[in-house]
Amino acid sequence: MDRREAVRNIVLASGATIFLTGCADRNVIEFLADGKLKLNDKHLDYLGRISEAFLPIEGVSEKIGDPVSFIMTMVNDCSSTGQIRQFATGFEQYKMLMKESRLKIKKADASEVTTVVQTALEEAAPKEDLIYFISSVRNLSIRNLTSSEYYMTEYREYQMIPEPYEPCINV
Amino acid sequence: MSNHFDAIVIGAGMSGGWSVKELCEQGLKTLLLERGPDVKHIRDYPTATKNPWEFQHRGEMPHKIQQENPSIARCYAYREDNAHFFVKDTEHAYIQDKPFDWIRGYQVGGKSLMWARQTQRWSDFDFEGPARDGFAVDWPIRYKDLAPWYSKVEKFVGIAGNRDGLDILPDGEFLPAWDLTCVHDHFKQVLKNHFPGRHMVFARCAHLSQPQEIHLQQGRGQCVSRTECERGCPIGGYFSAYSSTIPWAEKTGNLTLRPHSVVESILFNPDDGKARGVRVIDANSKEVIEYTANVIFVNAGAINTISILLNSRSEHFPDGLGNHNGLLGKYVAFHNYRAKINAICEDFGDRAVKGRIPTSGYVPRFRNVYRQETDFLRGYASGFGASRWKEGGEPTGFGETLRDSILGTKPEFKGPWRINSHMMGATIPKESNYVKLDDVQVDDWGMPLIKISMDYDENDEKMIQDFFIQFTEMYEKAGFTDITTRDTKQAAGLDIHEMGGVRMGHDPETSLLNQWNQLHSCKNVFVTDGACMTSTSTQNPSLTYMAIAARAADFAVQALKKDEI
Ligand SMILES: Cc1cc2nc3c(=O)[nH]c(=O)nc-3n(C[C@H](O)[C@H](O)[C@H](O)COP(=O)(O)OP(=O)(O)OC[C@H]3O[C@@H](n4cnc5c(N)ncnc54)[C@H](O)[C@@H]3O)c2cc1C
Repeated sequence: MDRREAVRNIVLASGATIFLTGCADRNVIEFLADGKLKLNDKHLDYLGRISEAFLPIEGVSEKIGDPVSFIMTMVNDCSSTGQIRQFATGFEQYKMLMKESRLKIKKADASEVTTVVQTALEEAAPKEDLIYFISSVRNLSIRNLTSSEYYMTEYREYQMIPEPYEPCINV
Repeated sequence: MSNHFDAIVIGAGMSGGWSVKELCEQGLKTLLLERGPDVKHIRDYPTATKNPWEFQHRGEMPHKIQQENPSIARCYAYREDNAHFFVKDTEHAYIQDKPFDWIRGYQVGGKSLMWARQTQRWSDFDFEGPARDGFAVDWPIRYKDLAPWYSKVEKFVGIAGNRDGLDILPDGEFLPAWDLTCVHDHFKQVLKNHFPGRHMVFARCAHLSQPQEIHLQQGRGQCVSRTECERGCPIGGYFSAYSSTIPWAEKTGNLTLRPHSVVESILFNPDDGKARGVRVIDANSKEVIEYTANVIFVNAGAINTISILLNSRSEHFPDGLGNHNGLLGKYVAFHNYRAKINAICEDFGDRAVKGRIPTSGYVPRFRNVYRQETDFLRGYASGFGASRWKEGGEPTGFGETLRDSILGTKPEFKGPWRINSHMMGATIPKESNYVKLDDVQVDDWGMPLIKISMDYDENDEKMIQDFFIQFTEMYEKAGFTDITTRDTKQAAGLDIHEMGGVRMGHDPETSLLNQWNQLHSCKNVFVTDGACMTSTSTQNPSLTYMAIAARAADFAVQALKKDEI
């Protein structure tokens, strides 16, 4: 049984509340009775660092909503129970991956993280849950940015009352 | 408060709004009974002025809600910004003898807040259809009977449109249309040059492109093309019963609005052969109350209208009010919205659209119009959309690469025009399609559960294939590429145009309503919503319901004055 399967089995075998022993730290990932994911402050902080490594928004972050709370809202509210569990398993695998790569997330340079992530993604036998976690964090970080007031107004020129309609402008 | 009124209207939606407006304007003390809560224009539009980023899930519906409400979750319009106006499947159960996604809005205003505001008149090709093609029964009215009422409704509602001069799609009383894009113009020209009898026009819509005095009197203003209509428009830029007909009726001083009032049945008086009133269950307290009136309009939305009549059993009408021939609830029908086609247009790369408009193009029916030319009956209309939007950078890689791919460049018009059409097909009303009441199960208010059975047939399947072939041909001729067709296989109901079940006709043996929408066998009860429709046509039906309601209400007032009902 490889590590991924082992972690997965723990998740599947457990009841409503399960505890996964993380490798990057000794913290746990917890599920609430309704199957939603409850991350403690350390994990939330960690998720924030992952999101920042995947899509750095430093410098404009105050103009964009907090990616971590958006990711958690979307994962918990807009995913099936199976997907939430996949996300959690993938999170554990991600932590293992970083540990294996001897990357302490606090110290790691974003480019190092992405190299490790990309290498993992290119592996011959990609880890389904890991990929699910990585693509969820990446996609939701992108969505948090592109649906933010900053992006919608500065880049998309969104106005609640749009500019007067012109059916055929020259571009 | 006395429980007697001149008139009672059941259902405060699109058609009921017109019934009360006409009855109240003509001096009748009218009670409007609505099962849902009151929704007041502007006050009760909680999301109307929210920005996209203010929605917790950025428009997406939470998974649990979708799982619990599979029917409404399949409706394109059910979104985070307007979910509060939709009836949850879980709250108001019904029995699907065949799969049927029933989309409802139980509130003062009904579905007139959620609708897409497409308003095309019917023509005699529609009203003469059943007689010509030998299905259903002959309509007891023709276009000329309804034309003045279409005009009346259009002037009050405010319809943007062009006078296109097409016999299949009669012109009306229009406010200026918006111009369509150069790709629309191109497609229009292609049809003109290569496909005689086929047209692409501006889809007429209930928007105030240029408000007239009558609209200002309603407190409504110019549509500014926010295109967030489904949240409720604080400007009143589009027509809804909330912003228009119901407040207008209220202004007469003749309207009594009673929300939270579930009409259980209509009460029949065998002594004079007339309905004497209605039995209402208070939605909150469950108290049973009776109201009486001289005339009753049933506007609860086709399926609920059928159910109220079926539930109105008496010794005289053991199978439901007016159901002397056993046809009540039969011959229900809908629109076939299963077929979609998409393509891209690589031309006009130096052109784009600025701003937004609340409608698109419309291809009126061109099949089997003047003669039967296919192996299926009737035909289809279609939407025609062409749009081009600014595309941001393709998100690439991770880290700074990803950030730069998104924030490095401002979105531009780089991609091609995206083209789409969707079929709006007529279906043939059949006796085997029905709405019934369950003999055992009841809802929270003690009303029997409604059972629905409607399905597609061979005619619909053939129509879908024909739509794909014809539109592929037209798209190819227009030079569109990457053409893809899709049969959504969706169940009936998602078209949200349920019709029939209390159909109009000449003969009391084969129909339930006469040419004035009176029950043949209970003359002071009028049905003027989708339930009265004898056939379905291809055009969005609500404008026709409104015209029929206004016409019947006027008739009822005159008949009351002459003591004829
Ligand atoms: C997303 C969407 C898009 C649409 N687009 C279009 C379009 O572009 N063009 C078009 O023509 N049509 C469109 N429609 C359909 C249109 O909304 C309906 O045809 C129209 O609202 C029907 O009017 P009505 O009065 O029959 O029913 P409703 O507007 O539904 O009103 C019926 C009212 O009766 C009440 N009621 C029901 N039962 C009872 C009872 N027992 N006692 C008391 N009250 C009761 C309901 O609560 C409701 O308020 C669309 C609908 C939706 C949802």
